[in-house]
Amino acid sequence: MTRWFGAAILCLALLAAGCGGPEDAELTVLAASSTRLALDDAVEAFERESGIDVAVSYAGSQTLAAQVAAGFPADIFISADVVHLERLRADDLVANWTSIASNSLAILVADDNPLGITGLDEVLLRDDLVIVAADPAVPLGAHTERLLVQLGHSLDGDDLRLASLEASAQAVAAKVLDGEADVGFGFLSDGGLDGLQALAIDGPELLYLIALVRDSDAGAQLVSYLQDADTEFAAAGFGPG
Amino acid sequence: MNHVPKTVRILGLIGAALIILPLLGLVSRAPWTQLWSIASTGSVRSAIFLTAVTSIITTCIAVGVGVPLAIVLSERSDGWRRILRALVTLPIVLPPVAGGIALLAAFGRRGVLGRLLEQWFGITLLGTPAAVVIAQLFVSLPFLVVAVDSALQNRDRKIEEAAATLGSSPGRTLRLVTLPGIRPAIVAGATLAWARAVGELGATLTFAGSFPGRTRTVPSSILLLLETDPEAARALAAVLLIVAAAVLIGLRQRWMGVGGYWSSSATSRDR
Repeated sequence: MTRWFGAAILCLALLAAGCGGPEDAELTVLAASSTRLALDDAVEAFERESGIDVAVSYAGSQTLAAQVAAGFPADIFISADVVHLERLRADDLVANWTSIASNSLAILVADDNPLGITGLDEVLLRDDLVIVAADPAVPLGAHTERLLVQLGHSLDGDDLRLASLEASAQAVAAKVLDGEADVGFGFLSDGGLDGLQALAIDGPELLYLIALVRDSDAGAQLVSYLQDADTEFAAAGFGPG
Repeated sequence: MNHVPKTVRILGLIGAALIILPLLGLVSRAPWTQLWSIASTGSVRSAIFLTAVTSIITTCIAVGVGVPLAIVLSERSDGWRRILRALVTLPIVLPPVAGGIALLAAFGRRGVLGRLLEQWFGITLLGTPAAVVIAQLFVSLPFLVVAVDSALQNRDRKIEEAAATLGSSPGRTLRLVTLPGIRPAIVAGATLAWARAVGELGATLTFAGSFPGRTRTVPSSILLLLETDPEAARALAAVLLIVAAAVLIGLRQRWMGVGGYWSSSATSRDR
């Protein structure tokens, strides 16, 4: 009796461990979390059209790249930064990539812009604002740091008195949404979030790149579908790829 | 129980392996030889310094308000005290991120008290070490309260009654009889609270943010280093492991004895 009971528990545990992942879907996509607003819609449309089941897992590009490098069974990787793909190519994990959408840096404020902020110049001049940015360890933060350094500022210096360097683009948006920060350095596409307004910053175009990790017909089909999914991306505030 | 069935033994070993394997993994992969050079680089050193200072301040405040709270709780057992006891121990089981959201709702800029703080004093807590201390207090204070409260409930009250009959005032009895009697519990509770404060991440990120030198503690640094420098992340994790091991060894040998205070109070609480 005891033996059976123990064996049953063991089997259940093994079963549970074995079916926790997204293996049931035909395609597994790892995508930079800032693409979520557009990608959810685009993927849903693709599933309807093709009948192919797709599971998308969102996280920071650097985290996803590490997962791919560690052998996570993914079909497609959408990265917000080319350096991750170059690193994976050096290890022969991806062959090539194309862009599917673009984004740019923006000043995030609450929807009604209670402080009447007009843009980057004002943010850099005023000293009564609570400002957050992303840490340079994540793509958004790296882009933000590059921009600020060009303008003669720094992320961690005392000149801007930033309140926090967050670990992800969503955390920056969340701090502004909560009202904890008056201003955040985020993506233009974050303006698509309820309660947020994004003021464009003149700066470089940031490309989202898509790569096939595991070659398959269904995978190639989704890649070409997303390359032409400009409407979904434009609706969520992204530029064309 | 002389003879433990084989199945129980096997399941028990699986349980042990689930805990021990990750620890061994960390020990085997941590860059022990470079530990010092990694720990002394600017950003890591400032994170260690910030964590040390904030966690010690947290522990002092926790003792300062936690012991009085435990005394109030253990005074007698009536309805509102039982409710209060359940409420103040809640953060032990509450996910820290939820704790951070709760802290925002109270002390955030749109929170009940935080709004007044900003209006009256122009204080915003995001990005300040004070916010780190508040987040640490929220998660660690309950550990101290539980330890001291159980010790107070299980104490022998006869000596205090004797002191009272001999004319000792309540304050004097508390100072000279009660508190010395539960000193081991206060030390154990403070140590556990300190260890919890050192490891605090979720509430800190949500409530205090993460800025080098001001709010970026060791756990916050590990989270970011994982993205850029996994070697350094493992080094810092190893430092935390050493701290945790030192806490356990210290507690066992000095104040608890094997199977000592913390474990016995935990079982009496379960009943």
